[in-house]
Amino acid sequence: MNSPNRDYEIAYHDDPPGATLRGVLRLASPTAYDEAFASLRRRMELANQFTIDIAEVPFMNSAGIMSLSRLVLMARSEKKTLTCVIAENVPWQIKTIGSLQKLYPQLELRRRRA
Amino acid sequence: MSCEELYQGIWDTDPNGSAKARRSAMAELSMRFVPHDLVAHWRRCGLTADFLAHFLAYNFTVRDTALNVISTVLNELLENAVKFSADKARMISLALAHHGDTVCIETKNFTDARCAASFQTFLDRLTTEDAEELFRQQIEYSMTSEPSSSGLGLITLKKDHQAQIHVRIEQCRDTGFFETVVRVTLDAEELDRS
Repeated sequence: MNSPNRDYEIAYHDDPPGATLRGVLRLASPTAYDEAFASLRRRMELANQFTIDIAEVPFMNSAGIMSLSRLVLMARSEKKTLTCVIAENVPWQIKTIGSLQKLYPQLELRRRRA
Repeated sequence: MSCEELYQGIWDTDPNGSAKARRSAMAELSMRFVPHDLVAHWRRCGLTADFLAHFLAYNFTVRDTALNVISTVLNELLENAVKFSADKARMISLALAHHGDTVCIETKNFTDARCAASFQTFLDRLTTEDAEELFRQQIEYSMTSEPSSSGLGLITLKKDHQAQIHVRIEQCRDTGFFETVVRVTLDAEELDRS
């Protein structure tokens, strides 16, 4: 990971715009996620289309799922094209992230093996 | 049982606290924690969940899947028990048992009157409303307010892992705190299939 104090890393790419999350996201509070996702949110705000790849995140706690869901709602309110790449072999990703499509039917889910 | 009594024998009672015949377990383990220790180093919650999930996963055929689900459930319950402990110096407990057809996970912590009341209100919704719809509502609600707790963790356990959730909240006569016991039961076959 990119910091000894973190169990996760977020790598950004510009073409096409997106972010790849890797590692375990079990932060202590919604505020901690606000900080962790601040740069991700800013990049999303500047792009019309964005991809978030979480396939290499084996665990994310409910505070993280809430924060990720809020990013999906932001995309919905600004009518952005959002793609989420999930792992076909990680149960919570298939089930929980699948439910986010009900919040924003234009959310595209792409599956890959982690 | 007095609230001051040490954690013991949760598997000898049903979720309502009444005595029942003990079931033999294929694997069984319990731990006690001081919430302060987990608040000071939050990753201890995940570390504990992962350890216990690894411990139990040996009983399953699709080990990686079972491990992922069990760790997810354990972590949510342990995080909740820590967060909602009114006195962070008062012990909480976590126990799990694999009875063959089910996996039971139980936490016990002590909360204050306000948290107990709001948890009860949430539980009433969780038991009567559709989990998928409740999930959607809680996320939409979070955009307009900052709820102290969305309950999203328990909602996803019910919605995505078919968890049966039983809760007992009881006021302690000696301290005024509310003893909160949360028991989640998972279908073992489902864990091997998820």
